[in-house]
Amino acid sequence: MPFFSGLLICGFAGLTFLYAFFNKSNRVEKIWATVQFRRLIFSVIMLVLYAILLESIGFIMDSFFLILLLCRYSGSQQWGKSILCAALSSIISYLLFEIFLKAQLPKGVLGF
Amino acid sequence: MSLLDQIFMGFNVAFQPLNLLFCFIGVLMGTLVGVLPGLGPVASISLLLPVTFHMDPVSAIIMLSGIYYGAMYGGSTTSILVNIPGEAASVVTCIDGYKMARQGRAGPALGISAFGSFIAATFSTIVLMFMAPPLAKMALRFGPPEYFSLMVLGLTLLTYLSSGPMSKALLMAGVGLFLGTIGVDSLTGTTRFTFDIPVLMDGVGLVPVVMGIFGVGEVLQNLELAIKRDIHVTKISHLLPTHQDWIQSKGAITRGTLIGFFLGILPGGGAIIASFASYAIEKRCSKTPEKFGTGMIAGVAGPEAANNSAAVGAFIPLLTLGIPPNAVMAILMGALMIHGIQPGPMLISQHPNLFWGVVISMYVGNAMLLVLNLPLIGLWVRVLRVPYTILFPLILLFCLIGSYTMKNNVSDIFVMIIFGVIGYLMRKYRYDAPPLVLALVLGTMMEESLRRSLLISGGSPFIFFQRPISAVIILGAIFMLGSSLIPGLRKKREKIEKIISEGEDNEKVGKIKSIG
Amino acid sequence: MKKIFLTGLILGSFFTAWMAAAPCMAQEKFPTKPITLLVGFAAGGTGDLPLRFLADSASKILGQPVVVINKEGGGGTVALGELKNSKPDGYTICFLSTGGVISANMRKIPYHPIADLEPIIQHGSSPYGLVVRSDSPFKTLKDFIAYAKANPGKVTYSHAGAGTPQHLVMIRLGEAAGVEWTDVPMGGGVPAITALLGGHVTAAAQATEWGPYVDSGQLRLLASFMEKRIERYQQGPTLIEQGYDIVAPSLYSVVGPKGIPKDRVQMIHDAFYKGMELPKYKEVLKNLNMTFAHRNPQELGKYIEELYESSGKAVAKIKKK
Repeated sequence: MPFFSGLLICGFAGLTFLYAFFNKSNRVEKIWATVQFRRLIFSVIMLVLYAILLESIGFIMDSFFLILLLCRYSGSQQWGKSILCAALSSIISYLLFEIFLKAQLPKGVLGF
Repeated sequence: MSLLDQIFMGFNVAFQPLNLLFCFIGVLMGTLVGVLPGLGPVASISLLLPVTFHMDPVSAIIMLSGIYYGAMYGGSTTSILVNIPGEAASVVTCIDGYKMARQGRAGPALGISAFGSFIAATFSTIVLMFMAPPLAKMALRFGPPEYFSLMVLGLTLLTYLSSGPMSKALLMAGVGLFLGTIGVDSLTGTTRFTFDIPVLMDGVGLVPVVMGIFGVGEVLQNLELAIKRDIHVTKISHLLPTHQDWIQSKGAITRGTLIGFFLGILPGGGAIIASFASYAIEKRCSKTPEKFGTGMIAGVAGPEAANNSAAVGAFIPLLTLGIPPNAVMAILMGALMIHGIQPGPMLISQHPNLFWGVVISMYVGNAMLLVLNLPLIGLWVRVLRVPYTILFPLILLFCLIGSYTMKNNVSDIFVMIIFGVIGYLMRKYRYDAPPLVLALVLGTMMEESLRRSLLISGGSPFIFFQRPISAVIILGAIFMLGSSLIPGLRKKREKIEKIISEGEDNEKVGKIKSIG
Repeated sequence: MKKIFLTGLILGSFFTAWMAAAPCMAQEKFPTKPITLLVGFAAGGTGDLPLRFLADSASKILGQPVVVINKEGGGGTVALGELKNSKPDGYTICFLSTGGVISANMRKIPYHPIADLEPIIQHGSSPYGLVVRSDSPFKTLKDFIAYAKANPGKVTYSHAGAGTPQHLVMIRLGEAAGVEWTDVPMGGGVPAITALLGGHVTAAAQATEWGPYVDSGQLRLLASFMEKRIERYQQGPTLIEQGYDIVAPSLYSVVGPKGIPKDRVQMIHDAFYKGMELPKYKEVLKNLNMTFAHRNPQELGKYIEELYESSGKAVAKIKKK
């Protein structure tokens, strides 16, 4: 039964895909023309790095670096402003979630 | 003791200074939990539960329920402002709410959702007071076959959710249904599509998926072009809904309240489905359905009213029968039990002060929420003036925290990132996300109740037509499906598609120009 | 280019600091730092609440905080998988329930319940029983079984999920009595009871989620699945009393990764046991409809082995179907 329903859904998805595919394939090419791939990929990589490092280096540190680098490179802010932003947002969100809402954010090896 | 005496007792309990304070703390936290994307009421109430151990049980429940309905108020904020649902029941609010914000009408959108929520919650609390026990008995008559029919009816709503071509909406629904089959099959205990990854055993979480597709996807799309562009360039005209807005939302709020209340009572129904249903009904009732998806205020007012009255309705089975209809109520049940109060059919007679105190506190809490939320609108609208280069890392951070704190597990972050990329691609190729979310919500329940029904009936599919409630619902679904296939209506659909694709083209051109 | 270099520098210096900070733990007295207690279920349930109480009292005895961290997922197996990968130094311990053992027989899970886990203490159990609606004609288990015999395939019963202890008991009972009945897994204890209250199934086999309805007279307890009658619900005779030698396993326990030094296991056991002796703990269990049960590391180890074997046989029968 699970196999059967799974199969049914797969087939359904595949069918509609084909239908969609044949129905319209004229306007597709243009949409990638103006995209800045470097910044997009950089941002996604930062998110993945964040997830990998979160439990080992702790929430505050990890968030600080995430915001810092995103502000600086994806957002093209200056260093000073980025550092300020990163410090403020990581500390405030820590206070908000950990202290006020009692969420269990990872502490990391350094203990915070 | 007469009903009036009991209500008086409720007022007595709810207006004790300490309980007023806890009620306020609850709704304040709830607003916050709702506004912060990802961190939903389920996670935060369970985390705050240990704090209430040393409190009086009535105060504890007053505060914890405040968080719940407060979150329903706050959930719409980020949906409207930045297109990220603050919690799952606000997914549909994104569709028209965010469009309104882009037209400079964030204020009225936020305003109508606050007023709509207030009206819905107040109305449902009144019904809760007088009708709770009979309504709860009715909810018990919903067994697996009734649920299956209800889910089928829910899936027919898909027709109203998509703005693009039908084939794409159906494809997205197919993907949603498939995602719903991932995990341990609760009937046989075998795993499906998990590839032996332990976290996938519970399936793909709704929160990481929604956060990814809506939040991360939106950010990525904005990042691809905008360097120093503010998204909301338009001036903000009003902070509160105008007379015209009220006229347009009146019916939506009424219908949303009713449908939300009914679905809230049913175990498993809940606020998410209620909001989807309300949106579909508004689109269906509207004289101008083609304008939905372009910033219709009724598309904000209805779903927001629905999710709030569903939140109130959900208390009925818990307080009268001891049956928690959703995850939040299950935690509240745990809270009652740890205080030595057995939720069940005898709760009202054994602990009248608890029942009436909590019910009356819901009025108080809702009034507090309205007072709290209206001045906040100005503040929220100002958030939009923060440069996007600073705003977007914060949005990403909140999405990350939100998906992590669901289960304190990093894997949910990966799920969110993957769906972020998928969401981005969906935007690029113009696939709508709401059908996927609806199918993901309904799919699992539909499959399980189908199989349970067949177990009960010994394999006969006629069980869905033999039981009266189920038969009525399933006929309704067939009618809905049939009516959307009538050629006349179909023509209307095509018109909508045309208008929308033209609109989007214009938008696109505008974007490119503003960059150049 | 310069930017990339700078970024690398920041990340690099940061990593060296981290590496330097990590490995400075020496073997001396225990515990010298907080102990992490993983709970594979959401905060606020029966898996979580008793342990929060015990962690609190154990913290005072051990002189270091015992921190409860909820890692929900896979019926508790995600947390146990994480436990297996942690160092066996006593600083990471984890909650183990009946499902954490039985599911090893049902599907691939990231640990082996005997080879990978170090038993520490059992701190509770929860009672199961079979209930029917009070307006049904079944007054005793005998009536129920007689009806099932006379109407093969007509009797349905709800339970929380496939492979739960109460499900396995019903399978063994059906076999012992020679009757066929259909089970309807409802995905949770309360939904299982709700289905019975709504009259959608004939009976329900569940833990004491039925308690309030038996109190209010809507449901009738036909049998207790435990060794003795349930303290609060004396009206339900055990299966043993009624001639079937079947007892439902029920386990709420704390385990560590295999290989924790014996003296540390004993210290943690003693610290938790002190908390269990407090009258307040019994009250917590009572409020959650759980029963007091204790096993020391050796007894717990034996119990887990038995449970693994007996459930393996029962699960094999489900799979054959």
